[in-house]
Amino acid sequence: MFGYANPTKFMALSGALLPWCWGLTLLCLAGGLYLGFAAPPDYQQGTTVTIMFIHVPAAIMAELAYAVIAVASIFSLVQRHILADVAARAAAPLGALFTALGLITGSLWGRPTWGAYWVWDARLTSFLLLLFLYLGYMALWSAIEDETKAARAAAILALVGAVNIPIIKFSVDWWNTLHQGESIISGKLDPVYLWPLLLMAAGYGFLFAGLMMTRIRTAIVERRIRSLMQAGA
Amino acid sequence: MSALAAFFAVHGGGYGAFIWPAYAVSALGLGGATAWTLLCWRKAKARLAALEKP
Repeated sequence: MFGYANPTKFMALSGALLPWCWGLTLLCLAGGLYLGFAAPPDYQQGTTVTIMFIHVPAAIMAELAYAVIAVASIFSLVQRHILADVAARAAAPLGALFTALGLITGSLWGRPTWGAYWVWDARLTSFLLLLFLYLGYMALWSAIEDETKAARAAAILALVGAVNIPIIKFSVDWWNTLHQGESIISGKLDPVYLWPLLLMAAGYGFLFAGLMMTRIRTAIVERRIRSLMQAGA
Repeated sequence: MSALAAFFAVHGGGYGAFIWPAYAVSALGLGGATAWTLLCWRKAKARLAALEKP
């Protein structure tokens, strides 16, 4: 795996994987949307259950993107690998986007289901904190001019903030919340909703992978541009 | 009733005011991020190609 942490090898591998990523994204999202809208209305939630197919994948990707940042931060701090910094930085705006989408779609799902767009319960509050962590992480990268120092500071912040991920996951078990508990792994979700949800989650996953690889490729090319300009100056 | 009319009869009713904005925001956010990411990649690639031109 570490062999592909070489920028040249990464460019070759990602170039070959990207068309598959885009294709699988379209295929999974199309299949998920079709099955999702063909599913019957839920006996309690009615047709608002269709919001689940975009809310849950966004929330999963928001947490996954932060996990990617945390793991890359460990490699950045321990091995000082340049690609680890690039990967962590590339994942942050995507994670922030998925978090914002999770919050907005959750809010639009909450109003007809709970009667409120927002409640300060443990799940929602810890998820909002995740958005602030992303924004703080990106702000820290931008605030420090020296890239090495910025990477180090951002990696430490990312690792400290990683404690919020299990809090989000287990908040529904640890506290009394309005938010429903886990229903995918426990098998509580009917297959008629489970399959479109899994397809949508796979689609969001492939999209994240495609965007992430493209952002890393862009950052590698921009580094090459900077070094060429410095050499020419 | 056509398939489209049947679809909107189910999903366009009372809860449509919550469902469609949720899908619209998601499509806008993900579509915008994809377009922006690909645009940045194309710009960077073109800039590098111009610099590497002998």
